[in-house]
Amino acid sequence: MEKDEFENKLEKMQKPDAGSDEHYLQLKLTLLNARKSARIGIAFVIVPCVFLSFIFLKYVLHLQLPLFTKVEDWMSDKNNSVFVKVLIPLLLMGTPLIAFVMNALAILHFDFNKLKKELLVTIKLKWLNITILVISVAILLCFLLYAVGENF
Amino acid sequence: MDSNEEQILIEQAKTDNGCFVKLYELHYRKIFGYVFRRTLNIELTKDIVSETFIKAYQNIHRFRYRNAPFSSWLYRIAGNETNMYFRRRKAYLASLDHLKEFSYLEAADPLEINETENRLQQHKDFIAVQNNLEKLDYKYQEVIALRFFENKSIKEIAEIVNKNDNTVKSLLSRGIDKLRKMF
Repeated sequence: MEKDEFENKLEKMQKPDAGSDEHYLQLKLTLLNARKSARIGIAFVIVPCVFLSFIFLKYVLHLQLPLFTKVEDWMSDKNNSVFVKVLIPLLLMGTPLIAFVMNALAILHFDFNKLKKELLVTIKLKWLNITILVISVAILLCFLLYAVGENF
Repeated sequence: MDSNEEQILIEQAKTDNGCFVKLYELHYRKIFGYVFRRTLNIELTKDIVSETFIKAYQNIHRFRYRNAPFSSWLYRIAGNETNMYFRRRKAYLASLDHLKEFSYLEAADPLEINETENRLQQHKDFIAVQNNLEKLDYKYQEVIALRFFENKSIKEIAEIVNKNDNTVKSLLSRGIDKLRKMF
């Protein structure tokens, strides 16, 4: 076949097209929510992080922190309303738990193959999400160990 | 959308996810088609297209508008990702025919595989060209695919592959010669 003829054939050849609506929507959602989970995660772990930092400064480094002592006294006051009693653990343990779930969902992808009966779990290496995840786990572990140590 | 509007949207997309999604909506179908015509594998196309847009999203702050449309940049990322896939697979599979034969079996959804296979049955000429094209060097594959599968002009191809017009013309000419000799 001559070169011109061959080029002509390539130009006129029918080309296949493809698309996937499901993939289009999935990727669109991923892009819309990108970084949101990490940003919300940062906001959720800030308060427990600050609280634990003060605990470390006061009880490990033995620094005098009168303002923090007042906050501690207020937190442990038995006359506090039910609202405050619920709010404190919610703020210190609930928010890192939410940050953990949100960031875990942002990096994990589950794909079940019915034919092969396989569950494929993919972990995306999004470092900001992974960092928030590690911080959330560390905070939750600190509070859990404290709870176990105090009660058993 | 004219180039000014696109430029404004790109600048907004650097800080606003919603604007990036608008760019995604404008270019998704073209990029999906390009990758599919180069791989002929629907599941693989989904992976490469996801990777392309995620990389574009992560690096959009580096994108500088220099009279080349945003789509050229996306085509370049998609081309690089596709070439990278071919390089990785080449290390595992000795024959590209083997790759073509088994690539469909990896797809997760059997309905989608059937639909894709039926669609491809109507394009036997294209499959023959594609099978031979894969045996060429990536630099030829890319320019030939852009010229004849995507109907891009020499100038557009030059923008996508980041080479000058004469280099593209010469790559096309040599690539077509090599491809023609395979038939």
